[in-house]
Order: sequence, then C-alpha cells, then structure tokens
Amino acid sequence: MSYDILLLLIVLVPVLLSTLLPVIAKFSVALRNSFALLLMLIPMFFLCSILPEVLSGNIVKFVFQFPLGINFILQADIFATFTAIASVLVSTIILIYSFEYIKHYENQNEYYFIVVLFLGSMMGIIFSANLIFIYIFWEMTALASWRLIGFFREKEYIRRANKAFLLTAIGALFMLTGFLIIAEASGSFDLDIIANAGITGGLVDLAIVFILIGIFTKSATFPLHSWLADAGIAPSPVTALLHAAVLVKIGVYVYGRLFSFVIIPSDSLRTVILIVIAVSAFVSGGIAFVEKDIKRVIAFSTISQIAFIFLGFVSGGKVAFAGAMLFILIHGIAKAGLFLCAGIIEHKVHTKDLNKMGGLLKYMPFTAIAFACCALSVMGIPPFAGFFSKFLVIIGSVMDGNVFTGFAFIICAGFTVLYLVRLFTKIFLGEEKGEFVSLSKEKLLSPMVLSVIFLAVLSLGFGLFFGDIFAIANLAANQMISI
Amino acid sequence: MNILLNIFIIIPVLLGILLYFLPTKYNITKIVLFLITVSLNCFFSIYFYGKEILFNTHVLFRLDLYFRYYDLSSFMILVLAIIAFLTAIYSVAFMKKDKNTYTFYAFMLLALSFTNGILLTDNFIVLLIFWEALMIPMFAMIAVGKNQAFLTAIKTLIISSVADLCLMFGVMLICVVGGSFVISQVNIDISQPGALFAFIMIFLGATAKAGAMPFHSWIPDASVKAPIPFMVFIVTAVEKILSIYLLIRIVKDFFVIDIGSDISIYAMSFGVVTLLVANMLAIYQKDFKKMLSYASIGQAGYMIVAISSITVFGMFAALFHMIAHIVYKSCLFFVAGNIEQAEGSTEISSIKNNLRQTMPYTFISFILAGSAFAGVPFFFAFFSKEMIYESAISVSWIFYICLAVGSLLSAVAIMNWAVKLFFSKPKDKIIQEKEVSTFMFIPTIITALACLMFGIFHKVPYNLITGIIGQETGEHSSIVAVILIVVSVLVLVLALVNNLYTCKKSQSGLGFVLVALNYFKVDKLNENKSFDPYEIFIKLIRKFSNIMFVIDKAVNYFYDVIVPVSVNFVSASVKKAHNGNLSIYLLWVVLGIIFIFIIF
Repeated sequence: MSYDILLLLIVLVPVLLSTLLPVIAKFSVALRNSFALLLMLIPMFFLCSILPEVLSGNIVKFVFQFPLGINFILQADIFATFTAIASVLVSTIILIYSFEYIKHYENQNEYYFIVVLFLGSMMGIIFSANLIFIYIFWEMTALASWRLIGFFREKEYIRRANKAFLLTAIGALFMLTGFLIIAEASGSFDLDIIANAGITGGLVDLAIVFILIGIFTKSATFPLHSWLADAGIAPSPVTALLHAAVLVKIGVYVYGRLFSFVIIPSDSLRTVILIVIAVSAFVSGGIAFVEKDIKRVIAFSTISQIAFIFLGFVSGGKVAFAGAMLFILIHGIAKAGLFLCAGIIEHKVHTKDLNKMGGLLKYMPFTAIAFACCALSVMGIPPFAGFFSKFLVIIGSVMDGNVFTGFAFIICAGFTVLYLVRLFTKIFLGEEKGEFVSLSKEKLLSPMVLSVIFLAVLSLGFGLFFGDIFAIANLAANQMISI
Repeated sequence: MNILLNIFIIIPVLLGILLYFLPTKYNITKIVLFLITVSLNCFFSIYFYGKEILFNTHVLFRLDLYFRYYDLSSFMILVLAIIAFLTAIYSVAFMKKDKNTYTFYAFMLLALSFTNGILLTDNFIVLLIFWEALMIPMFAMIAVGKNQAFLTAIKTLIISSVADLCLMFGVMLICVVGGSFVISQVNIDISQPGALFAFIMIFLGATAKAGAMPFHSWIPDASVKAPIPFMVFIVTAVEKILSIYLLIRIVKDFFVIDIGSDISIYAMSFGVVTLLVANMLAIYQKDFKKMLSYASIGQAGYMIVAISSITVFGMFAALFHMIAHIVYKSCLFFVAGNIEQAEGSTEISSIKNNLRQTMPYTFISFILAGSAFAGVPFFFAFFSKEMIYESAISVSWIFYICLAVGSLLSAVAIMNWAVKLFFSKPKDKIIQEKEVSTFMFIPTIITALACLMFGIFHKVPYNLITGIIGQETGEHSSIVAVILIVVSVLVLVLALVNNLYTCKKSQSGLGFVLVALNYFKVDKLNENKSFDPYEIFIKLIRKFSNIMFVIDKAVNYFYDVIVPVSVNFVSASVKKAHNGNLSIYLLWVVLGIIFIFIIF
C-alpha cells in the first residue's frame, strides 16, 4: 500500500469505523473492547509504517481536490508523525486502562465510540494541511470532548460539559475568522501556499490574535482555561485523554504548525504572547499549590505545563522548537500517568479531596511508585525525561534572546516541584486516615495498575534513551525551518 | 576508557537498584555487596589517582558525552571514596536494627554514583543531570529516618530543587554566553553580557549545596531525623565536595574575574554572613548533632570566603580546609552516633552518664576531632584556617575579624559540649562501659587519628593539593603569618578561659559569649521558627497562591454566573420585545430602517 493511502487510513479508520462500536456491542462487550483497541493499534501500525519514509526527510502527502479551494490535504512530516505517535501511544494506554475503570458504568458504548472518534479527529488535525479541514476536525474534537466530559449525567456535570463545549466552540469561531483573514491575505487555505506567500503586517497579526483565542481556549491558557479544571468531573481516563494526551495538545500543536515558522508573528505580538503564557504558568502554578481536589491540582498543573510548550514554540528557535515537540510527548505520558493514578486512588478511597487522604503508600505501593515517577518527570528531575524537555525549552528561549522569560519559567518550574511534592505527600505520606484501615493492598496484575506502571517506565525510559528521541526532534526542527 | 564510567558510575547505580529490589531473605548478601561496591570504588579511586584520562561514551542517555578524569576530579573522587568506605562500615553496625537499613544502602550507592558522575563529566548538561538527580537518593536517605522524617525529606527536596533551579539557569546562561556545552571549553569574562547573572546563579547553586544561607535550614532538621551515616556521607562529604569542586571550577575555569572586584567582595560577604550566623546559632543548640550541623554550615562559610577571594592561595586554603573539615566533622558525627547508640539520644537532657568513663575511646576521638574543629595548633584544620585568614586579610581586615569571631564562636561551642558530654556529673550513679561495637569504633578512631596525624604531617595533604592547584606563594610576609597565628592562639585561650571560668560558676560553659549574643537578641533568632527562610518562602508562596486562587474564582464567576445571567437577560429582553403585537413589530421595522440610514 502506498504511503499516501496509509496516511488517509490513519485518519479514516478511527473516524469511520468508530461508528461500528455500538453495533458490535450488541453481540459482545469483549469484542467491542477488542475492536476499539484494534482501532487504536491500526493507526499506530500505519504510523510506524510511514515513519521510516518520513524520517528519511520525505513528506508523505494525500491530496483530494474540493471546490472553492477547500482541499482535503493530509501531510505527514516528522513533526506531525511524531506528535501523532505520541497521541496514539498515550491514548492506547488510556484505552487499556479504561477496560477495567469504565466497566461498572453506564453509557460504555458511547464512551468507546467517542474515544476512538476523538483520536481520529486528532489525527485529522495533526495531518491536515488545509485550514478549513483543521477547523472541521477541531470542532469534531470539541463535540467529542463535550460528550466525554458529560459522561456522567448529573445536572452539574452536564453544565460543565456544556461550558467546555461552548468555550472551545466560541474560541474556534474566532479561530475560523482568523483563518478567513489569512486565506484572504495569502489567497489560499492550503498551508503550503500560505507558507510560500510569506504574509506579514497588521492584518495578519489580527488574524493571529483571532486564531490564538481559539488555540488558548483549546489549550486552556489563562484566562480562557476555566473549562479544563471543571472537566475534572469526567471519568479519570477521560481527563487523562483530554487534559494530558490529546485535547490540550491540539492547541499547542497547531501553534507550532502555523506560527513557529509558517506565519511569523511580529515581535511585539510575540512579546505579548510570551507575557500571556508566563502569566498563565504563574497563575495556574499558584492555584495548583492550594487546590484541595486531586484532579483539579493535576489539571492546573497541565495548564502550567502547557505554557512551557508554548514557550518552546513561541521562542522561534530550533532548540526551543525541538524541546517543545518533545515536551508534548513526555508531558503527555507523565501527565496521563498522574491522571490515571488519580483514577486508581479515587476508585480506592472514593474521594477526590486531598484532605481526606494520607498514608496511602502502604495500601497502594505500585500506584505510589508510578505516581512518583510521573511526578518527577513533570517536575523535571533527571534522569526522568521531563528534565530534558524542560531544559531544552528554557535554554532554547534563552538562546533566542528571551532571558527574562526563561528566568520566569525557571521560577514556574519551582512551582511545579512545590505543588507536586505537596500532592504526593498529601496522598501517600503522613498519617493514615482511620477509614482506610479496611483497605486491601492493591494487586500489581490489573490493567489499571499495569497501565500506570508502563507510563512511569516510559517516563524514565525516554530519559535514559533521550539521545534517540532528541535526534528525531532535531530532524523535525530542521525540516520545519527549511519550510 | 569506559572502565572509569563502569566503576565509578554504572556499577554503583546497578548495585544500588539490585540492593533495593532484592528480597529480604538475601539481607546478608546485600551487606556484602554493599561493602564490596564501596571497597572497589575506594580501591580504584586510589589506583587511578593522579592520571589524566579523557573519554567519551554513548551509553548514558544515548548522547555523545565527554568525561574528564584529571587531578582535581581524581582528588575529589578519592576523598569521597574514602569517606564512603568509612561510612559504609559504620552504617553496617549503626543501622543493623533499623528496618530501612537496606533502602539506605541502596540509595547511598546511587548518591555515590551520581556524585562521581558530577566530578567526572565534562559536559554541563550531564553535570546538571547528576546534580539534580542527587535529590532523589537524598530524599530517600532522609525519609528512612525516624519520627516523620519524610517531612524533613520534603523540606530538603524543596530547598535543594530551588537551589538547583538557580544552578540550572546559570548553566544555561553560561552555555549560551560561552557557546559550548563542554565544560573544559568554557572560559568567559565576567563583563560579558549575561555572564554576571550566570555567575550569580551558579554561585548560588554551588554554595547552596554546601548549606550556605539561606539554603541551610534543612541540615539542622536532617541532623535530628536522618541517620548519622547520612550526615557523614551526604552533609559532610558529598555536599562539601561538590560545592567546593564547582566553586573552584567557577573561579578558576569558567569565569575570568579580577581579584578584589566587586563581585568577589559580595561573594566573600555572603560567606561571612553564613559563617557568623551559623556559628552564632550553633551556640544555642541543645542537641549535639544539631550543633554540629550548624557548625558545618559555618565551616562552609569559611570555604566560600577563601574561594571568593579569587586568589590561588584562597583556593588552596579552601581545598585544604575542605578535607580537614570532612575528616574532623565525620569523626564528630561518628562520635554523635556512638553517643546516640549508647544513650539513646544526643540531646543534652538525655545524657545520663559521664561519657568520659563509659565511652573512653569515643571521648579520645572527640578530643582529637574537637581540637581540629577548634583550630588548635598541630591539628588538621589549624593550618587551613590560618591560610583562610591570610586570604581574607589580603582583601580586607574586616573579613579577617569576622572569621576570627566565627572561630571564637566555634571554639566556645565545642568546648561547651566537651564539658557537657564528658566532664559533667553523671545523672546515673551506676557506671558501666558502653563503648560501641568494632565496626563503629574503627571509622571513629581512624578519622580521629587522621585529625592529629594530618595536623602534624600536614605536608602530605599540602603536597597533594599543590599537585592540583599549583604551588601557593603565600599572600603576606612571614611576620603577618606569625601575627595571625598568635591571634588564633589568643582566641583559643580566650575561649578556654571563658569556658573554665564560667563552668565553675554554672553548668553553662558559654560565659560572656552567650551574654553578648543575647544582648544582640540572637537568642530570639534561634527560638523564632519564622526566621527559617524555608518557612518564610513557603508562607510567601502560600499567600501568592491564595491570591491566584481568588483570581481563578473570579474568572470562574465570570463564566459561570455573569455570562449566563447576561445571556438570559438579553434573551428575556428580546422575548419581551417580541410579544405578538403587530404595532411593536412595525416599530422595530421603522427603527431598523432608521438605523440603516444612520449607518450608511
């Protein structure tokens, strides 16, 4: 099969075949789960198949012409393929975790259908090289996240799901407006043509601001972040999927794709963006230090860490770009691990309130170790992978002349240590609460525990073999610059 | 030459991991493996000593990295290996009843490996990796201690990580300004843009490792909660070695700084403040281990002052003092461990026996190490302290006076503890020998004898350091040196007279020093926990976080209340305006037409 068809299938297989999941469930639940897993593994297999071609420097492209210049173009370069593999990898682990987590709840058919659809939409955004199709897939993810956040049908939960949908959808409309201005200025929605047009000026900056509103709502940047913490009411695999692995990374990915090297913001606008993300990192880091809900702490941590990824892409240099790209993968893994650990804890102690926890290390040693490893990675403590990505992002920004921003983000890194150490202490150390006496010790051989351990191992493994993934990121950065 | 990498870094890490995961039925095997690893490390550090070896490897992090084993690093690795060996022997006996012993061994090997890594690497990123990764074994080694030691471990983790982030930023800047990640290739003028900031950040990170203020407050806490081998190996050896190593690299290799420049004066002042405040607080401590830990912070101040003078002589003095400090302070901590095992605690109130009679060998060790600590002539630290005085007075006599006051405080503190531990009346009337086991005794007496032997034969360490730093030429004439020695002796005599005189009058041997310190309200400083920079820092962070929390609530209120209410209000208003009455609709049409005319 030719590479372009494989690329098309990476997007179409999960998007189209996900609709079969509720039907298959009529025959067998186990078959439905297996098929859902298969729908994750197929794109992964195809991604691995096109990877050698992409790494050799070639760009795989699928083009289908539509009227009015709305061409369906899928384009796989190293940056896109790398991000896609990161997303599918984390999503697959989350799906395996879900087999045990979700089995007690209703609406499972909807859950699996939406999760796979969500992944397909994500693939669509990553590989689309046409602004209109980016928008279409973007809105598909908004719809999917709306259903996933509203998985539990309580009134308050539905309100929060609506809030998430409305905020991101309104943001997306701003983004669409920005796309239209860009298309007007460059004469096309196709990224290749826009890149070659080399558009600049006040109108383009206005378009960038509009697009940024959409990006900031999706990637939960202060003050457009509030839906993300509220979405913590969703099941843990959903929060892991939305907050860690896929949804919030869409915004930063699109920023990296559009504004790092294709459409360059003016210096003054770049300064404003740097200020916005630094404020976002500070505010969310501060909130995470005093929040009492375990999932809200991790959610605010995500908002804070997203700012680091933005920093990498906004800085404009090669090193920072490579660092930000690796940050997407490494943070996705570690943060998914934290959310999934939170799910295990919630299942065990039936609360999300940190003040009602303590001393759980004794009952949940494996989860505690996995949690610690993932937290160390997010903190940026070597030899965990998070250290390298954080280091590259900050040194990249310093290399690009943003010394004070780099220093501000060093302080934010300090915040990360503070709130994650506090979180770990509150959950696992300290005095045991009386009601936990009856808890049984967790078993290692369960899909949920094994999933988080696997993510913890990845967090360490990517650190120990950092040179290899950095080589890929470096290639991607070189390829992007050559555009 | 990957053999160095294997011996000093990879094998200790792998053995550490193995020890951690081996089941408890192999406990004897764990002890044997632990001792073999530190012994081999010690053997090879002697075997390779003095050689210059450059090698690169692709094993670590799959990056192409250079390592450099040369005079300074081989010296540091040797000192570290010897202390690790002695600590290992001591800990086998000291912690034998502790259920977390084997966890301690595992993490001690990790700490050994990471420290060797820092000393060997020629790459800034790898230096950072090992430097920061050291936090993990430090955290674990404290957490295995007693009485909620994890709280101290967390404090340590947070303080270290803040300091390490300073270092990280400094390293980033130096790499960007210097244009290379290779340590041996970086040599930048301090006047270059960004270089000063880089210097400050790296200096803070390096001095924080030695426990300089304001990054010191975890050390006294850890001295009480963590096991004694931790205090010997990490606080006394690892932290000082790393700090002095990096400080020497900063002033000798990384930056070009003028002697007597402003930055040198500020850095020396930083050291002086650390030594004065720490030595003052040491006076008030009621726990022997806590006193030692404050004294340890104070001694870091001496070394910082010496190195910050930027002279070769200062670096020479700092390196000399570093080994002296490691030897006598290790011995004093071993003594504290012996006392703890015999009496159950090192708090003054819980010492029931006259330890001079019950623990004679421990007493002798204390006298030898204590004399070195006080700077008594012919003991190890005497020579190094005199050199530090000379390097200080070459910059300003004010620095010298501060150092002399610091020495007086140290001497008073150690003499006071000598009286309390070994010369006071026993609370228990039954006297029975409680001397510790051979495994604990050997490291104690070896370090104690070293305090005397290296004092008498100080040419041995002198020649070793000459081979590393180069021949020191001395800063002043021999007359100045003689005057400084006379003053040092007078300071000791003053401390002794103060001690003997006041001991006759009361149980406290602190005498006029205590009165003077109380006059300056230092006692309040000691009692007031809010002075702890860590507490101040956490309080500030909490305040900031609470403000952010309120801001977030306001943002949420906007989305959750203001927006829906506004939308509902507009919706209700529009609904009211469309009530089915034809005349109202006609009015809207007319208004609309007028509006269009106005616009266009």
